[in-house]
Amino acid sequence: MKGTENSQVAVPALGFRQSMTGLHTWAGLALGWVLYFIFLTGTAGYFDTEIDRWMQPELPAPQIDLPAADTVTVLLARLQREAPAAERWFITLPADRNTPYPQFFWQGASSSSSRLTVDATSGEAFTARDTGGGQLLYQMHWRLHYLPRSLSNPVVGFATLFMLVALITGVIIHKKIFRDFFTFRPGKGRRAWQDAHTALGVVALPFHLMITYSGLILLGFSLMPLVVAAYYGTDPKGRQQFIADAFDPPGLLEPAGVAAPLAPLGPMIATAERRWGEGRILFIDIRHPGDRNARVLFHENTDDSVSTGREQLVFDGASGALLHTQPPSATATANSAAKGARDLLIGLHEGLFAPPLLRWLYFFSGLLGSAMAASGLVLWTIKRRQQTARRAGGPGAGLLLVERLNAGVVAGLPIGIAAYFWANRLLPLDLADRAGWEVHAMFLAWLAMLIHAALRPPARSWAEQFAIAAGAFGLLPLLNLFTSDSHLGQSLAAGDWTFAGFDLTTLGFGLAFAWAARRLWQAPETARQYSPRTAMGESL
Amino acid sequence: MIPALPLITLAFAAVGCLCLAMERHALQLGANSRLVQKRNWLRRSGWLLLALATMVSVITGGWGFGLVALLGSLSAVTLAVIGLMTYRPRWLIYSTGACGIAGLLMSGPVIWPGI
Repeated sequence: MKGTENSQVAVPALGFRQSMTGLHTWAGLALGWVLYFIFLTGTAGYFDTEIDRWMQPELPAPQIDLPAADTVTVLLARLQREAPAAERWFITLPADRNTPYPQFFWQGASSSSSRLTVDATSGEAFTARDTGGGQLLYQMHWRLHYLPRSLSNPVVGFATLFMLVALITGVIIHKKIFRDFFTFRPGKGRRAWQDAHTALGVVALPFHLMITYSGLILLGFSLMPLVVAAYYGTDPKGRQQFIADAFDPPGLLEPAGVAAPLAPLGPMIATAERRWGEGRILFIDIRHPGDRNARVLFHENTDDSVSTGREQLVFDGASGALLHTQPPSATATANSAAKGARDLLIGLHEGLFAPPLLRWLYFFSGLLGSAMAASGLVLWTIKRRQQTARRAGGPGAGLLLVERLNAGVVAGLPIGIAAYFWANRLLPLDLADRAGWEVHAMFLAWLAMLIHAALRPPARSWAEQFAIAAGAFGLLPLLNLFTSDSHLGQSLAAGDWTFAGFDLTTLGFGLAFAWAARRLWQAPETARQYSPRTAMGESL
Repeated sequence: MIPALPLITLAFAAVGCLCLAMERHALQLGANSRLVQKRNWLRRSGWLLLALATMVSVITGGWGFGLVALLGSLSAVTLAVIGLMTYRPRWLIYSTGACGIAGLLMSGPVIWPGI
């Protein structure tokens, strides 16, 4: 219909645009639900550490202002005691919002520890509830939680690739991208959904392109494993060698087998802080502690640049001498242009550098991406409904399936995320595998919503699920009031914007869902919306 | 540190001007409104305000942070402009004017020492 007015003039162009439309529509439909999941859980990830805090309200205030030397002394003593023979000690220092508390792990020849978060003053683990926190929520956007990496990487990679295809074809088939830039024609029909879908795509197009392309780069090594395998072979040892070559600074040695005590880190910390400023050491990576060939790597905090690549200092672990800096020159941020480009794209994707204003813009753009995927899915059903209305016979099974899946995914997934937060506060503290059950609660709630959407008429299930979502998010501040000391009255008075921000944001989501539910509920005779007469009227 | 208010107000005024400068949207506010005649002026103001927003962002945040903040703010304000143009077109005129003036006043102390 769109191209009829110039069909006689430009036949080849029409053909091209039509095939692009087909590609956009079917790629979008096939992967829309996965993309919506990736977008939404990834968006939550821009507030991962804030969510961590809310999910462990027992924890003390962030320890980012303590002197690095004291924290390192405490952690080193613990590592010395716990894993004196380890090949690697790794200490993350509390530097900014990304790491509110120190963390460490060690790796040995036969065993290794997981990453532990500890108190900077005692070196002991905090006594707090077992939770996956915001970290687990944001990791879902590429690990898909229940799937093994060998499966989730190709699935997410494939979806990301077609997200890029959908963006490019979307721009191609959008004929009047500038003339329609600000156009939104409200109403219930197909045109309003078309306008909304294109506006959501165009308005945040730079973000969508960046996040999709950099997502592909992040998965690059698993999407194109043969590039690495061609040079390093296919066995795990070759892969380790590649990672060491690509990401470790040069000058690291195999252990000499000769014992030598680790030089005191105090002077090294002083050297690093003289170069970078106080409190700007992000992590300390000690290779072969206690060996004559020990090396101590210091990595600068990345919060002052968009790119993730920052300066590293390499010290001799036995003598304490500064061997070299990496990258070697002060102006370069990486060893090669390729590494520099990758660091920049990963930095942009993760947004770890983002101060509050930028973080909110990232979050908002992510929501626009989720809404773009959701509106595309709804648009598909609206178009098919109109076509069905014009033909004899009822809607096909495919259309009914997509309509029901849309409600269960678009409205159901946010309910699942809210259930994750509810489970965090309501599950008994001594439950075995408590963190695991939080996630099970999320997916069980989502499953319940999918079943609900399968049983109810779509128009009803949307309204009902939005109402449930309104309660699930809107009541979270109340849940917080009853299950922690960091409720709104306290957090606002104390200026604790991590807790206040979480509560106010979920309250905002609750109100938005309530508004949507109310609108859908009041829609005059929702069933009539799809009758042949009105559908014809809308398309005119 | 990129100052949020000057950046957001300038970006909003810029996008608001560019929207009102379009024939379709100017006509939405009535074919005889003075807006229709001022379209060229609005377009130039829009691009100028956009340039100022870019300057505020890049001077205070550098090219990396600055461009990310600029593009992010443009996404956010464009959505707001579309909403106002659709449901409250009159308010769009007033808020564009108010944001333009506020943005210019606030950005002066930011841009001047930066040049």
